[in-house]
Amino acid sequence: MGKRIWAGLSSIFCFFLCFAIIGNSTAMNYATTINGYLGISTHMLVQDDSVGEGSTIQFPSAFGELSADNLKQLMEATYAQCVAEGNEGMVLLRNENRALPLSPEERSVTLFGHAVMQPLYRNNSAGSSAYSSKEGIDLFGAMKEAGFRVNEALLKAYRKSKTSRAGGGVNAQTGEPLPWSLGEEKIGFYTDDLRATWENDYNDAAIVLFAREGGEGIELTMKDTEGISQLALHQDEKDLLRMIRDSGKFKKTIVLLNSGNPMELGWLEEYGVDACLWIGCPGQKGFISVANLLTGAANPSGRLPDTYAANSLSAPASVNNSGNNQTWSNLEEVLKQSTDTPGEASYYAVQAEGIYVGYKYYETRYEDAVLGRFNADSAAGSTNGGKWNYTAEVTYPFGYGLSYTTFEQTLDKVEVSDSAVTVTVTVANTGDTAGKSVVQVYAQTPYGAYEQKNRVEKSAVQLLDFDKTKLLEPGEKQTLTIVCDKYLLASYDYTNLKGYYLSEGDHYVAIGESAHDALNNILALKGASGMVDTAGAPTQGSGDKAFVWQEKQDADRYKASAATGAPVTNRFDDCDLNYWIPGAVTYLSRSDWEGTYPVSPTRVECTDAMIRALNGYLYRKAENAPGLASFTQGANTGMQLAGLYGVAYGEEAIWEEFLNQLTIDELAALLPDMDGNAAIDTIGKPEVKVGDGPDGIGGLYNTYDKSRYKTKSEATCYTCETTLAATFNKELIASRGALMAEEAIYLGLMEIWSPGGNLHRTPFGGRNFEYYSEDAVMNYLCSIPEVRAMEEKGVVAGIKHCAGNDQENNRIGIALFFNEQAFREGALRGFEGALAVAKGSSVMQGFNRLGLTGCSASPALNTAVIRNEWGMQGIIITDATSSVTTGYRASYVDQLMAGTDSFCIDFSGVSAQVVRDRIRDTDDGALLGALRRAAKNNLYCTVNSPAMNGYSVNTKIVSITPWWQPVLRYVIIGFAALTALSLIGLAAAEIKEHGKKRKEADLHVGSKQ
Amino acid sequence: MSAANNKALGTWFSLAAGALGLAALVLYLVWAPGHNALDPVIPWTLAAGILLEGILYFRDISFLGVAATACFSTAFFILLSRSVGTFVDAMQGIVMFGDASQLGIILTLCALMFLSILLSILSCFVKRRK
Repeated sequence: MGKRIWAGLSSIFCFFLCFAIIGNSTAMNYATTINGYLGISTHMLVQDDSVGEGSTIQFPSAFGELSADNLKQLMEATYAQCVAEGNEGMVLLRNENRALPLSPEERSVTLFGHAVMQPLYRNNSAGSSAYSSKEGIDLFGAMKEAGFRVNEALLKAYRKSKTSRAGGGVNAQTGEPLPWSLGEEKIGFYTDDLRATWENDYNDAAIVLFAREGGEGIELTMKDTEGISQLALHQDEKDLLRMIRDSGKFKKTIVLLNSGNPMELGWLEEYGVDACLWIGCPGQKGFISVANLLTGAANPSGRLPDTYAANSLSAPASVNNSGNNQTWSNLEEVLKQSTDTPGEASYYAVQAEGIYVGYKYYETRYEDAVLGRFNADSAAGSTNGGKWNYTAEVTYPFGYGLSYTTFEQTLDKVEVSDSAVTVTVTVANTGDTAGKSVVQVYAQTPYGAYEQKNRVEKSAVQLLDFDKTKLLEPGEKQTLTIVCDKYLLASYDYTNLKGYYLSEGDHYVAIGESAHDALNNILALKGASGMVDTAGAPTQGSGDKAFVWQEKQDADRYKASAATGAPVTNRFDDCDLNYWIPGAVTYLSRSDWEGTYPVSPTRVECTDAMIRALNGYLYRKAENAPGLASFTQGANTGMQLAGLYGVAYGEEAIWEEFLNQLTIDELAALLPDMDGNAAIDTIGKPEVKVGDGPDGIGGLYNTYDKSRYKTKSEATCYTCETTLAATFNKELIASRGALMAEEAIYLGLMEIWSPGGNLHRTPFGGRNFEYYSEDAVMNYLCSIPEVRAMEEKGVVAGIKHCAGNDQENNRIGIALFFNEQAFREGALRGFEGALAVAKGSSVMQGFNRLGLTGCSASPALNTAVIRNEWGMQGIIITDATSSVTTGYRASYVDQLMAGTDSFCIDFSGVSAQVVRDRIRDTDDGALLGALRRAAKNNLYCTVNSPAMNGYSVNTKIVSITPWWQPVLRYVIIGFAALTALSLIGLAAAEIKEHGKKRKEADLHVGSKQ
Repeated sequence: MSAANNKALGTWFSLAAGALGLAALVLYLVWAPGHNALDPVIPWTLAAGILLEGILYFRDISFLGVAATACFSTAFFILLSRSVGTFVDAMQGIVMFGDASQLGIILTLCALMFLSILLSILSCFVKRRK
């Protein structure tokens, strides 16, 4: 072969050699991901009875021994749970003339709306996608199963159509945001031929499915291509509804709302909609519930966990949050001095709404308007520009929901003690259909002179607790006793007392069919007049459904944490923008609605001091910090992790002795997470796997081991968390937690990153579907049973994303400013329930900053509150770090020192490398101490979880090299050999050519001579 | 002019490879520092590849062509490796592991580098001198 061929071949093999070497290095970085996808285990267990006595750890399944048959039973139970959640969580919003349930004769229907062919089972994010498996069911399938005759001609037309709903995201070619698409058909789609299909048939009911989609990193838009909110009714939808109405063919029009976000619904009457059912995101089996509710096989008992505003932009939280985030007025200067990417350093949101999120705004302003005080009826914040009017602002209030029967609730008794308010309510089914009723208990605490002077804000009505009856037959009664925690009546005073206190004066509790109804009952007891009901009709309220008592101001009762006894005081002063720029923000106050309503976003400059704080990386070794010599590391005494099963977190001596066994490298190896972490064979620590997703386990390890269980099914996709909350059924919420934990046991998981504890701060939150509610107390009350149920089975519940990560827009790096009352009573409360009350042993932080400090680097959040006040014993993990090496997410040392224990999706182990290098380079014993703390938290969770199932002190872990790793090495060797051979060939050809040329030259010289 | 006259297709491929490599280098240096994406290996290997392709204009040494391919290939695969998170974000339509908004520029860089590699390989197969 000639030189050129050898040169070309060498080039090609060089190219492939580079590919193999760099590819191998990349693959090693993603080894856990690859192993997960390939289902490869990296260790095996060997029994070695020489170590000592010890029982085998076993977190049992309630379904018996782990077997294929029992897994089937578990899967059936999860499907039944999903249907039960739908039956009890979907909310009937409108039911004119008892349009629902459909009679047995009404079984010939047409399903409208493109979403029929593109249902929103769940939004895009981590979590189970089992809805797409053969076990998943859509609306069409569920209706057929329920015995309906469905107009299939229209379905076929939808199937053929190229119309598609797009939830946003980015263009893979340009990186530009994708134009989202509502995904509804233009009216021209409905040809005469199609219209003829319902002319004489399939017209018992027109069932219209509308969807609204967001997702992880994808906020719903406040102003879309039609110039309106994504939550409003759009032109194609209006045309569709008009066509149905004007056809005059359908006996009934039923609208189904398929979304985790509340739509604006002021149009139902206008388009002649007879019934409207919010179905949330139904998950794998929830469409069966839709059919159940339409036929009356189930009676709706869901209640709204969000306010359905006529105009989603009328909420004060919409002024600064979601799509209205601001960039610093001196952005150029900030970016010049910033160590972050522009996306991480540019945005901020001032939560000027204070505590007034969701119904706390609408209902509080309503009370003040009724009582004619505080300029509540001014035009500020009014949707129509005129006097503020509740009926014009709210379509359906928090807690609202209809039933196919009627109930009468009687407030029997209220008992107030030092620690609790005990409410006894009798519920009677006064209708003709069996059903369940939700008892909602609300409270009002005084907004007096002290509060107004010290800027303590009060919601006019506040959910205190709830319960649900059993299925009550017509005429049947049930008495429920609800013990409400009085702590939830306390307010946080961040200006004067710097702690929680009970106000002086009249305290009210009331029951009601919604927050609005309960407030009307309180107003009735106050003797007020001029109230309106949900529909805007005058009402007197029912004073006999409310109760009043007096309290004296008490600043001592909640001065210390109930969980730990630690003092509760201001920790987040620097998260108030006024701390950095005095007078920069005026928080919304009910003392003057007109003067304090945030009519426009707060714009500020980022001062030099703020830029320094924004840049972070502030940790320096203290002068008096101990050196590494103060610690013993690598002194392996043969203690195995299994031996620490059941050893209390506070048994310091045992834990210290155990930690002394690990080397600094081994300690650091516990920091990075990649849906778990690797085995450490020296201490008998197994490989740990975790799952992700509040509505079903997703991630690398969410399919069952086929060789063991004869199925490779994914874990179940349940209804979205908002639907779960809407059940107002704590038993059902707990059984979700228990069943997910059962699935985790079968999957061999230590932890599930679930539930979600953030607020629906605005209706536009892209991940609202993964969070319970707009109401912080609802989050608190829901997170407790779910987390408790998971933890009782040994599975670590990792609630996310703590705290303030209430929007997807600019979530990475956004600086959030707020006052401490709003933060403690709002964003933190859901996490407080999970960690302080339910004793959850893990929490995932948010990407956002608290003030200017990232959640993960905040000692106030992680150490002062989560550890010291709430007493959390376990793992505090970041959101995905993605192994970044620059920017605020890469401040691994600062984050570790602030209380963070683990770095999520750090696939290449950057966090471990940075921390161990820093420890050694600076001889920093304080940092080593923090690393030991993090290791302890990791190991404590591991040893007390199903990850240890089958382990004893005699279990030895033997590492196994995954098959693909040697294969990749052989590929490198192969290409290296080919490259070397071709280079040798090239060299030989060069020598040959050189010799030939030399010969020719010699001949040339000879001929000349 | 006379120097150019004896150049064959291979030389022009080499020059084109070098020119595209230069374009990639400039684009990378303009873009990467502002987006926390600067990996020093990439500009250095690109520069080395460009230099080698330049030398090939004056001296026809086959090994230099192979080395130039190796340089461009190294830069190319390192860029791909560093951009995995961005590709994942773009495919999933989320913002988490990388920066999907930068996908366009990353793909442009990849295209430039890949063309450099292709031309560099082609230049090795064909004659550089008439």
